[in-house]
Amino acid sequence: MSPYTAIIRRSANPFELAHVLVSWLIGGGYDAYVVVGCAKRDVCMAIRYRTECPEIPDETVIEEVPPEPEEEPRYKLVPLPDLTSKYVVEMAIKEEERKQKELDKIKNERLKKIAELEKPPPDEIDGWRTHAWILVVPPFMGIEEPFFIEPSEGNGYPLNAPQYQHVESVYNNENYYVNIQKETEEGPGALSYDFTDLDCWEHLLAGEPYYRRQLVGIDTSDKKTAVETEKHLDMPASWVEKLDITADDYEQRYPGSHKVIHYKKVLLDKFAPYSQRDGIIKRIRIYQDYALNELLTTYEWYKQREDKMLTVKIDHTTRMVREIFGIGRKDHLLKHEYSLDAPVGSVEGNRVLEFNYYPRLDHLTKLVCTPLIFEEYYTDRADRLESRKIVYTPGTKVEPKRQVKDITETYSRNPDIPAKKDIWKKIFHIQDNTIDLLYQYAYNFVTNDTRNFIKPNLAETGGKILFYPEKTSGYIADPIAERPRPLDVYYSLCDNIAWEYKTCKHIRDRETDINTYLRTRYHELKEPVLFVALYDTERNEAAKKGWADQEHKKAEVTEREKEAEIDPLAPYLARMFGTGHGTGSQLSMKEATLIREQCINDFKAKQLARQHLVQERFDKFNSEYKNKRLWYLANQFILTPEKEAAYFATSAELSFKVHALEVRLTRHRDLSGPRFKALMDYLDKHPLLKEYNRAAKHKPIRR
Amino acid sequence: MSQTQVTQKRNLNSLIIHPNIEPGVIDNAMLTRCILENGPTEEAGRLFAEEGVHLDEAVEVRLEFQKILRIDHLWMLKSLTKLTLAHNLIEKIEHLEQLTGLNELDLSFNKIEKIENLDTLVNLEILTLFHNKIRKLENLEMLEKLLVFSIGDNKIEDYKEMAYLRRFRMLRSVSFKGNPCCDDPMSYQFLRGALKRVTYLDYKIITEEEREGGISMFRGLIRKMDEADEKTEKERLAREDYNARVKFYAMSFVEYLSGPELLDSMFEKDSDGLILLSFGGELVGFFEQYKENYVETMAQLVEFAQEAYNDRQREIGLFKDLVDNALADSVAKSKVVLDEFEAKRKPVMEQVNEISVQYSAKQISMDEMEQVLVELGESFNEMLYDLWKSLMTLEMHLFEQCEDSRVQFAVNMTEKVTKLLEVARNAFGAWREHEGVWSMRQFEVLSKHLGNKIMLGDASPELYNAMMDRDMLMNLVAASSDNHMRFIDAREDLLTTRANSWRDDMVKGANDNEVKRNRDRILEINYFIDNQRDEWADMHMELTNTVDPDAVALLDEFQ
Repeated sequence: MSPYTAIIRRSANPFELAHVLVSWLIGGGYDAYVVVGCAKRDVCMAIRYRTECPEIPDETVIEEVPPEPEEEPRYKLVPLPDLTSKYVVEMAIKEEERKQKELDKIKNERLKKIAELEKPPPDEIDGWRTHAWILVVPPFMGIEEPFFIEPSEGNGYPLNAPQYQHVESVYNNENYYVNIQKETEEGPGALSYDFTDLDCWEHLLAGEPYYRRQLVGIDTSDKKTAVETEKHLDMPASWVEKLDITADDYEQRYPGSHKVIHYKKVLLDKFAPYSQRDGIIKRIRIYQDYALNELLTTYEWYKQREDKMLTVKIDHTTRMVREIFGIGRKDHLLKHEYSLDAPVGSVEGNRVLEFNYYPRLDHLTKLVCTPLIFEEYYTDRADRLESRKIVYTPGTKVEPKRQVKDITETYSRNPDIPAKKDIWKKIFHIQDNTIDLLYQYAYNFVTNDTRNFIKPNLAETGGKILFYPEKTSGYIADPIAERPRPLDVYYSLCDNIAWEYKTCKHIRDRETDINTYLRTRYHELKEPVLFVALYDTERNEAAKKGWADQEHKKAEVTEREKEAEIDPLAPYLARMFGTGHGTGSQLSMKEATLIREQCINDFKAKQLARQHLVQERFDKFNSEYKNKRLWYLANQFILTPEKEAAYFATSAELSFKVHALEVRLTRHRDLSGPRFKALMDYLDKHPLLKEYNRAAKHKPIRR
Repeated sequence: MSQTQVTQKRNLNSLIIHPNIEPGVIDNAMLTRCILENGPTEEAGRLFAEEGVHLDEAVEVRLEFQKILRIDHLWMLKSLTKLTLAHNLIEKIEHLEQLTGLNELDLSFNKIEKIENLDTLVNLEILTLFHNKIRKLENLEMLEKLLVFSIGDNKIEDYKEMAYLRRFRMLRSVSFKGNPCCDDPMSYQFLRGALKRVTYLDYKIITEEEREGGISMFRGLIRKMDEADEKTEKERLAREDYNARVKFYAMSFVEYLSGPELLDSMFEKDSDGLILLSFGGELVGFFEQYKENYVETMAQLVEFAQEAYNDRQREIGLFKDLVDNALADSVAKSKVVLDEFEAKRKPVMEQVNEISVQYSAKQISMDEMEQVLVELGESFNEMLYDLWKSLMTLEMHLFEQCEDSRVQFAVNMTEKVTKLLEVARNAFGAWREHEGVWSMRQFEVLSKHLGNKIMLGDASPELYNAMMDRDMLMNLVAASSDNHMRFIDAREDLLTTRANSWRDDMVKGANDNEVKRNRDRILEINYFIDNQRDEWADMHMELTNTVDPDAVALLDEFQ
């Protein structure tokens, strides 16, 4: 069937699959051909459980080797005399080699045994199974060496791949080439893929496609004949419809949104996005044995999770989980490694958390938690703190929580201040009540200054820190430097006591932080939320509708707020009774009359005031406008064009203002009557004035 | 008799300026008192006072309300940055020359009449002269960093005086009110317009509109001032540029050689040559040619010298890199050794602690403890010896390795300098040639017109005489030539000596640094080891309550 039908039906035989892929590759600019030949049974029948899984992530650490310096350095240090015995070294090397050879022998034997076990059962028609795959040759699109592609998988293989046994012919839309080279033992890898070589490849249609023509010995001036030499018959044009797969179709390509491929000792699951509740799109499970019973490692990949988790690796032998997150989390976490045995809600398990230090306020890069040690690492902090390590003593029966024993803070060198003033490490021994300070190493020094304080008991001195020379001791590395001043030492002591307090507080905050984080993670893992990206047009319809609804609701709420009942009587009630009063009980006659009077009078006064204001403004602008007009009329002829333009601008503004005020006045006049009536109606119907109104109805009071 | 005595006394009394006030004198006592008053409080204050006041470390001194009449005796305060002598009775600014680090000076509420003697205070940024009797702004030229200036409540009569402040490029805040000229509202307008860089006038921001108003009010005057300033500014920039270029070329030893300046200055110093040159005519043409040749030769020399300079700097950089890397390596290794020592020391100290605890709990006797301590002491000594050996070995290795490189460095530097000197010699030789050619041509032209009265239209009398007399002419030419040759020789010598001395300094400097570093390190290592030994000994004695035999001997002596 045609490639188009193959795409629609989503299933085909190898020839049809090859046609689809080659059509696309040629359309993309590659020089691709369909190869007809013989392949092994595993390839023809798409049996994968004897092949290695190609998608296992490669976890080898790439070490950056600094580039070799290009030129010989002009100055080199004279090497130290080598005093070791060369003979002894040689003998040691020989011994090493011998041991290594024995180990290698054992390893080779083991590998041979494994290969034996893994050999596939014998195949009677081996070497006769016809199969079609794809060949891509240079030079288009930067391809340097020809290679094969297997259409049922989509993986590329080099020419000497063992599963392809013979190549019989090669064709595409331009021409059909038959392989007439002698078969060698090495298989298709040793063949020449130069299609212009007539001893290797027999052409169906004579001549070459135009990009491989070598126009040799042709008289190009004679146009007619030039074109006709080396011409070859063209294949008829294609009648297939455009091969197209929509993005939607591509996403939902797995039937049932889930596909399982069984490789050698590995199970590969692929999911369609959004089909699984937790957003997983790929899972690889590596087993210890061929029967897939003992799980060794699991890798999982996720997409579109709200908590930005990207991959998870669970190592079942060491019981460690490693989660990697994308950028965008509020706490800027990038990687979280923890032990499966670690208590879920507490800080005391084995955990390593790595953060993106740059957007965090505290520049935290890494946190390492173990049951007895807590370490923080920072990068590029303004106060140069590099790491803080807290050592705990385990909890006892009396106090089950672990206690802080030591806090060590390490700082980086500040080149602006001399080394003897620049702190390198601060060690607070909480349980011994001492503070150790180590200063940075100066240039050319291998020892550093130290200072040791025994903390004074603040309870005795009532908060003031007194200086006792016997409670401090130190070492100065520079023998000719002067002794430090007591005042400086005292300042140092005060600062460090304050700093210790701050640090302890910080540690408590940090622990709370982590606990909160762990709880959040627990929720996120239990109830994963998937988000829809803004630019995902298909799924976003639902989101868009949701937003539209939200907008409506918001608009309604604001409108409602505007029209919310403003009780005109409220301020007067408040004035009489205090705020919040008088809203329940009925008012007496006297109170009610008073309030009514106040309300009506105020209203009238307000209306009058408003009218006056508008009138005033109107009069002012009107007179201004008239004055300007008169001035213009008087000076019309002696005005420069700029001044005239200025006059026109101002006069237009003024006239606009005058008109607006006029409109306001008229509106005010028109509406004041109905407004008054509305107020009267309201007062009549007000619940708190019921008594009064009842009375008013019975006895019409002259107004 | 007594009457005259009394009148004399009264006359003398009238000489006393403020008869009712006991004046203050700036002396050590007053300075110490003021510094202590403004120092830290309570515990820190106690320690501060105990230690004694170091006048040369004081950074800020406040001598206000001390009834001081004259400024003096402040030269001891070498690290001073902030000084206030406000609210005193000072009449003259003087004796502040030594305080060059001064940043802030407050002389407000005094009786100063003239600004003077502030020339050395180039770091001054804040100057307050509020409420004095100053009439004129002057003598502030050297204060280029002036930022905040307060001259309010003085006796400045004319607001145009304030245009003096235009020269301060960093000045941003001026306080001016209270002067007699402030009654005129135009004064503020003028200040706002004229002082373009100033942001705050009387501690209020000058808005753009106000500034525009000021500028428009005094447009003419301000424009004139601007023009004058532009000229001085250009000159200043040109001068700075020139100085920078001279400094730049001085580093490659070819200063003043990059243009015809040296040639011109040579001719200026040579009066005979000038006389001959004033002949004019063809001489001028030849002179121009001479100048061109000279410039060309020197340009080549300058180029080569620049390249050589870059080359030398590169070489120095490589050498420094090597030395720094080697040092860093050695330091790292030594630190590793020290860490190992620490690790070994800890368990020993813990054992000592254990023993002493046991002893104080009366579990073991003094003898047993002593024995254990002595054993531990021996092992500690061994550790110390090992440490000493490793550290010293590392240092020795480093020193020896670097020595070779230093020798190589010296050789390379010498080579480079020699090459430079050779090229310089060639260039100067070429110059001498040009000079010879010029001399010859000069003589030819002049001798052609010898005795020709017609050509000498408006010549000076000396030239006239020379042209009449052949001998005199020859003398003049010879004198001029000699003069020039001497000049050229002097310049070449200068170049050679400077290059050589630079090279010597560099090599010697490198050697000296290395030796000093080596000795410092050895000193440090030994000091550390000694300290450790002392600590152990002290601890030993404390635990065993033994007495230091040396101390006993000393005490015995004094008893």
